[in-house]
This record gives sequence, structure tokens and C-alpha cells, in this order.
Amino acid sequence: MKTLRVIGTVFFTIFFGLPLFWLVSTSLKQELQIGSSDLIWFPTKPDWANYSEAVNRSGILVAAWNSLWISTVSAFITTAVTAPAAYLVAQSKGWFSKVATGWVLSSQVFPSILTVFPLFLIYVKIGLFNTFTGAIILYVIFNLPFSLWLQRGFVKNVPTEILEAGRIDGASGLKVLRYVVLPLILPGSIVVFIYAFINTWNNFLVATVFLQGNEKQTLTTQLARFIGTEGLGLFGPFAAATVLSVIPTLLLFIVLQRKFTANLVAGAVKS
Amino acid sequence: MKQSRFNAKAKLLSLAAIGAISIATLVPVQSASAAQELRFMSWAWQEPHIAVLKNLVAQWNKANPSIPVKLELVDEEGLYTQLSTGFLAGTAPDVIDTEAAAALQYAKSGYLYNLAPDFRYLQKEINPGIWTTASYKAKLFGAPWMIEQYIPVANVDLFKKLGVAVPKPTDTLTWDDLRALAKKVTTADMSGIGVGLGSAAKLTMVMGPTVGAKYFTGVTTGAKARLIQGDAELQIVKTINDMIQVDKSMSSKYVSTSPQTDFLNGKLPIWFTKNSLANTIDLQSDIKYQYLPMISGSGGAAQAPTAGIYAVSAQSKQTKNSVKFVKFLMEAQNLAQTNIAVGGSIPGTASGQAAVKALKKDANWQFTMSQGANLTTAPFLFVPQWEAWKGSFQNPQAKLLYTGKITLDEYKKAITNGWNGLR
Repeated sequence: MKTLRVIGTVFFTIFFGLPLFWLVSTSLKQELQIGSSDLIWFPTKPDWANYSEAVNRSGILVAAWNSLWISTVSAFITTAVTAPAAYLVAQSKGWFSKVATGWVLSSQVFPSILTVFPLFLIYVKIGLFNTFTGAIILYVIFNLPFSLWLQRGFVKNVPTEILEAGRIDGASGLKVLRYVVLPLILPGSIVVFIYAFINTWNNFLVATVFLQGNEKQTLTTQLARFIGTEGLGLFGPFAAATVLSVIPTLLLFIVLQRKFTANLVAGAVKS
Repeated sequence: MKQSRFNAKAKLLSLAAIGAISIATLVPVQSASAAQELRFMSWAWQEPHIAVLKNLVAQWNKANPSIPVKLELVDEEGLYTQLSTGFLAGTAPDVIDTEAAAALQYAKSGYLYNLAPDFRYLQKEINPGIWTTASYKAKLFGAPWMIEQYIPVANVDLFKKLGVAVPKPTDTLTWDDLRALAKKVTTADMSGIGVGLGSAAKLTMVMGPTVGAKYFTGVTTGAKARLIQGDAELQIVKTINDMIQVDKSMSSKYVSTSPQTDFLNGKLPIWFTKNSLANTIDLQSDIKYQYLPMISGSGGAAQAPTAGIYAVSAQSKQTKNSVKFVKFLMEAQNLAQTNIAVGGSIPGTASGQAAVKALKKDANWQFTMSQGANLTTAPFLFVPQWEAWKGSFQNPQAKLLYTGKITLDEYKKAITNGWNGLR
């Protein structure tokens, strides 16, 4: 069993680690080494020029800032909206809960591309096209169904006795939510925040359709500009820019993961 | 104690969420483009090309302060997504830097402004085949600024080392001659020739006229276009396949990797590529290279490439100003700068080609710039579903053929069935 676990872990690490290793390796290679038919695992003399080229490329820093701003705000709003919604859905008994959950989850069945054209036309009509506000609203909408489903699980884990104790003490439903449920589902909120942030950070479709013009670009659309036509492209700077673009999400995950684990343990002790 | 800590956390979270919502909704709604500003959208991705476009826009804005132009850069996929949505909603850019084959769908839907009346003065300077390629129903939907041809390039030092004479660009080179030459420069540890086989269908179609290939009949009747796969149409595919499977003068690895790196690393004697990559050799390698003659066959040496075009949106509120700006971009010196920056593609006008010749005295540049007459119309570009067929059948089946997984007959059958299924 232990051997199987070790083999599984090694396989998992290679499966996910190798592409990342290759990305970092490519970012440090010279142009002629990148497409070489000789297998170069890692350049003997790492070339950092790709990183300076990536950073100096016009628009990349603006795009990074735009991505950070849009992802942070979207993640905050998603988290804020999800918690009370999940509480309501989890607490409701009978058909409402089932219908609400089913409706929200069924919206996940349709690919985003199906809704993009009608949404685009609506956005142009109501003046939300090419605005960060419009994009943030869309990201929140796209993030909500899965976030709600995720948070609902955390709310359901809150012992009913605690909620009832709050009510017996005279607290209203809102007060129970604010003073009892929200602190207890903080780990869930962090998970939702991480999910919404990463999902928005990596999204290409909304950014390319709803945000146009140089000053509105996000990192994903800027990264796509490193690739030219017919398989040609600036692969070294592209790899370097991709490595740099992973850092914020990685940092966020590392910082919040520690917090997440700590809160999980706290929850365990309480229950 | 614990309760108050939770309260504080909940308050903090609530405040943060409320703050985020407030800030997000306070971001002012902005219109798609500022009034009177011409939006010029380009998919330029190479830094020298971007720099030239920026410089040209700056020059224009200085000389025409009442008609400011804003350059918007997008990736290839983004360009077509933004055009498709933009034309539907009336938010498309005024001037579009795109490609004739891809722009055709928008021209057919009436989204592109007819430039023919405004560019009659340039018509005698533009190859008739290219003018036709950028036209739909006698309406010019784009001013052709860039043309790419396929041409074999030789590594002079490798040829010398192997004791093989490099044919002069002015000589004649048939497909059979190229095959024989590739065989001559092939060694036990080195392929003689490399062709980018990842999108080999394009090469096959563009070079089709050199072997008299038609590929389709009934092109002008639209949906009734019929695929032809006779000897002429299969000749280029067969030649490439023979070089891989019979002569072993080309590696099938070029199905998934570009021969560019092997050539630039001095490990490939002949690279059959587009002339726009000339600058890549100059910039990335110090190898001595020379263009081989243009390939000619029973149909001559003319190729049928698509063209890079500047199009104007028919929805633009400033079509006259947009046309004026395109005329500026099409000036000989500006075309020369742009095509040099792209890497050595051929400017769409004779004066543009002459301007490059005046700037680039190197023999290779002089040779490619003299090939502007060796062009013809690409009728397959007008066939509905051609792009879909190429992507779904022609390219994937060619890859299977070149890697020895199917025979030429199976290839022919698969692409024919594929076409019949799409019609």
C-alpha cells in the first residue's frame, strides 16, 4: 500500500511538475535552443534575456495590473455574495433548496462561449462593454455557481446545535449569519476566494471579447500576443512571461493555504 | 474573547466585500472608443513590426492632428473574435490589419468598405492576381500590403563542405530538380531539406499553380465547388512524401517541429520556407545563406499566396479618413519599412518593392523583391468551407501521410470524403 502511495505521488509530481519544469527551462533558453532537435533539459548557461524582453514588452505591466485588479475585486464580490446565498440554500428545506441548487448547477452545463455573443450585444446596448465593471460582473456570474456549491458544503457542516443556540439567544437570521455562520465558514470563504481569483486570473474568453484596446488588456490576452501566426512566436519571452504570471497566484495560494489549514484545524477543535 | 475575534473578522470581511463592490461599481463606464479617434487594429506580434507601426501612427498623428489614430494590438485569435463580435454590435475598429483569406468572410457579409474606387491609382502597381485575391465581386476589400512566397534557402557553407554547387537564383529549378538536390546534400546524420509540415496544406495550395493544380471546380458558384484530386493536385504532396519515405532526404519530425532551428544551427542544407523569414536568418544566425531559384513546374513559377491587407470597416463613421490613413500606410516608403520589419515579405505595390530594393542591397533581398510578378490569384481562398476542410482534413491527413501512417491513396480518399461530408 505504502509503495503504491509512493508510486502514485511520484507519478503525480512528474505529471504536473514536468511541464512546469519545462516552462522554466524554456524561459532560460536562447532562441536557437528552444526549437532544437537536441533535447536540452536545462541550459548550461541560463539566459535571463527572455525575462527582460517579457517585462519590457509594451503593455505587459499594465495588463498585469489589470489582471490583479479585476481578479481581486471579482474574488471579493464572489466570496461576499456566495456566503449568504449558500447559507440560505443550505438552510432552506424542501423544494426551494433543491430547485435553487439544481438551477445554479445546471447553468454550469452550458459552455461559456454559448452565452458570450448574446451577452456581448446586451453589454454594448447598456454601456458595459469595454469596462472593468462589466468584466467584473461577468466574472462574478461565471464564478458563482461552483462557488455556491462549494460554500454550501461548508455551511452544511456547521452543527445545527450552534445555529439553534444562536436563535434561542434571540438572534435574528441575519445576526446568526453574521456572528455565527460567517466566522465558522471562513475556511470555505478562503477556498472560494482562491477559486474565484485563479479562475478570473486565467480567463481568456471574457477578456478577449469584452475588454478591447491596449489599456484594457489582461495578462492572458497579452500572453497570447507572444504567439504569431502559423506556429511562429517569441517562445522564450512567452515562457518567461508565463512564469512571471504564475507567481501572484502561487503566492496567493501559499499565503492563504496556510490560513486555510489553520482555520480547518480550529473548526475541528470546536466541533 | 473568541466571539469578539469572530465579530471583528466578520466585520472586516463584510467591510472588505462592501468596499470591493463599491469601488468596482464606481469605475466609470467608458465608451468603446473616444470620439473622432480612428481605431487601427493589428495582429502584429514581432517587436520590429510593432515598432514600425507605432512610428507610422506617430508620424500620422503629428501630420494630421484632426484625425488621430490609435493603434490597438491583439493576438490572431483575438482579432477575429473582436471582429466577429464587433461587426455584429457596431464596435469594430475603423482600420484593420488582417489577411485576405480570413477577411473574405467579412467582405461577403458586407462588413468591409469597398476600397476599389479610392485605390484605382495603385491598381497598375499591384499584381492582378493579388488584386483579385483581395477582392470579392469586383469590390476591393483590402489594400494588399504584404505578400509571402515559398522559396528554398541554401546554407552555402554546408553545400561547400559537401562539395555540391549551389544553384544560382536565376537558374531554373523544377520540383524534380529540388528533390534531386535534396538527395545530394543528404548525409547519414543530416537530412538534406526541411519543410515546415505542421501546416503543409498551405504550401501545397499556394504552390499548386506551379504544377497546374486546380483543386476545385465551380469556385465562382460558391457552395457547389467540387474538389479535384488528380495527378497535378497530388504532385506536391507526393514529392514531399517521396523525399521523406523514399529518398530519406527529409525528416518526418518536421510534422511537429520547425526546420528553422536546424537551419539556423547549421544542421540543415536546404530550408524550404517563406521569404518573410529572411530577416530571421540575418538576425539569429551568422550562417551564409543564399536563395535557390523559385520552384517552377509544368504550370510555371507563379504562386498563389494570400495577402496581408489593410481593410476599412464599412460601419466606420469615418470611412474617408480611414481610407486616407490606409493610403498613408500604402505609401512606398512606409510599405518598405513595414515589410522589412516583418522579415522580408514582398510589399503589395511595385513602388514598395522598389523602395525595399533601394534600402536593402543584399543579393537575397534584391532577388525576393524581384519576384512580385511571380504571383497569381488563389481561387481556393474563395471556396466556402475551404479553411474548415484544410484544418479538419487536409492538414491532419497530410501529417499522417508524412509520418508513414497512411498511403497516398488513403490520403486522397480521406480528404475527398472529408470534403464531401462538409459540402
